[in-house]
Amino acid sequence: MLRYVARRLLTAIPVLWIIVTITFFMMRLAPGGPFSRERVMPAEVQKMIEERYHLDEPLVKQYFRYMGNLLRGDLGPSFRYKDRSVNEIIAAGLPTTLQLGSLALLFALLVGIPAGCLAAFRQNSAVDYAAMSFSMVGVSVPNFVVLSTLIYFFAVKLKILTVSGWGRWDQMICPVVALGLMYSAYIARLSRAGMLEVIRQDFIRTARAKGLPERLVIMGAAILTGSLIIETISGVPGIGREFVNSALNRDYTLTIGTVILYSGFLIIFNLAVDIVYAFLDPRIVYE
Amino acid sequence: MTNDNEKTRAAADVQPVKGTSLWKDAWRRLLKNRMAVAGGALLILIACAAILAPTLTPYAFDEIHLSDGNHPPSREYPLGADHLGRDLLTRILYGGRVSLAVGIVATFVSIIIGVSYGAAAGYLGGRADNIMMRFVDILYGLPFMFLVILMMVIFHNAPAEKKLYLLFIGLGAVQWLTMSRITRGQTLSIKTKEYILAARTSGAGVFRIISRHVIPNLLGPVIVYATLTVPAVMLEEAFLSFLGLGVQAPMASWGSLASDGRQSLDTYPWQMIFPGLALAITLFSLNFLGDGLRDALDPQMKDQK
Repeated sequence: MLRYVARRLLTAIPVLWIIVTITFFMMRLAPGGPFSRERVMPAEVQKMIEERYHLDEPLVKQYFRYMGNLLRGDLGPSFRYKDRSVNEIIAAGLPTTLQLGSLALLFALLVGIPAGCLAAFRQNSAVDYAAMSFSMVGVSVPNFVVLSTLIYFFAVKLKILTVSGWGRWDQMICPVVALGLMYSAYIARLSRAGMLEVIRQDFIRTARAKGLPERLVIMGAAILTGSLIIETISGVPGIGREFVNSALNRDYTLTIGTVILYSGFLIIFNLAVDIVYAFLDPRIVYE
Repeated sequence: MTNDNEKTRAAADVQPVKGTSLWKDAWRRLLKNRMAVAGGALLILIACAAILAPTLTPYAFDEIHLSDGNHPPSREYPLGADHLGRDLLTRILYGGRVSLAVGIVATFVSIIIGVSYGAAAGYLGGRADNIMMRFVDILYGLPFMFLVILMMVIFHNAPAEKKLYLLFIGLGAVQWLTMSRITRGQTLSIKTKEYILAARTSGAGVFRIISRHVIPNLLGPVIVYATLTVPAVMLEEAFLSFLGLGVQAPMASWGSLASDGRQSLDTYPWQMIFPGLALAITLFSLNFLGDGLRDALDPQMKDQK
């Protein structure tokens, strides 16, 4: 088992390398640069800045320089936020994104599991239909529509909640609910199906159980992507927001840094699924 | 009738019972599912409205009435007007064309890539299958959505039509992995089914086995998954357009219309709510139809209800 985990972590290295390389060259091939939006600078100043960030070097040399720094855990300086390194920016934004993601997941579980179980115990009753219709609505309404609606009613009209910022409960409710709602609907449907199979003592149960953790992990990854848009709209200062902004601003190092972080999460999620499989299904043997 | 039945049962060992075809059976079960039928009907209605948009509204898509800027919903403008006085209903109908086109074309791209890849892996089996599926496993680790976002950022200043093609390909590429896994698994299990063996022993040729047994059984899950892929793709398109990275002026989609409306959410909420509602209703119908299709076509569910 330990050997299996170690091997999987080793295979993650080439995957990360591919991602970094693709992102690096994609960003560099994009027209415009990190400083092209600013006022026209004197040629000397421009040259000084380019020298400072090694932008005057050939691209391949820059690539190897970046990879060398990356191996030492240094994600480089940000091109846009002066005097801040990408490591600092990520360290500042990551806790917020993780909080947002885990609160959304918690909300989804707390709402989804009871709703799904209730629907299963009262199968084909009004309760069941109501719960399932509601969950279908939840699956179908885009999270940015949910967020905008919540903001409109609770922040603009009723003035109970506020948006933008992070930390106080009245700032956190709108983004968390908007991000978690779709997944609570999803979990409700999954737990209803799972519960029904347990009630029926179905032989398909194990087959379905095998699919369940995989879906949960896909959901974990999807929540991270979802946090991109939620953070961007509601002004939550996490790393999801930094990704979109940095790509638009051609802040090369910050973009690659956030992509690495996200890919790392994805790899860990995938590994977690396979380990959970091993516990659920004794027939799977890892060598 | 009972007599006939008994006769048939007695003869069952010798003569095969004439059964209904898989598709007829599925169709009947689908019609029994009221929500799926309602979803399908609503979808047809929405698609027709989008296609017939020019005959349904008196306005052109980009017709500007500056004096009616931000006009609330009224008789002239059933769903209100935007800041340039463009009729929102007209824009939603035309935007629906783009949203639906992205959903359908990108799903088609994912089917072409995923089914051919998965079927090849499943059919070849052994070593080739192993290598091909390991490759898919690696691709699963790539954050595709991030790469699509990056691609759209890089081509931010490209003409709107070119960006639409990028969306087709990019979003199709995001979805093909699961499609290939489903197809491969299905092909593998169909290959070893008793009815294939039975067909083979009763003298059916390869072509007959593939056309009568493999493809119909492969098609079910593919259709079901495709129906559920369309809303996922449409959601991703809306997501990108909402961030300002997808469909761009002069074109519009439900996502980009909602994005335009968000700027004036506090004062003119209808500009955001109606495009969002159009998207939500469509996704809602697609999900119900997809679920109904799955229940109708999933052979495991066949004996349960």
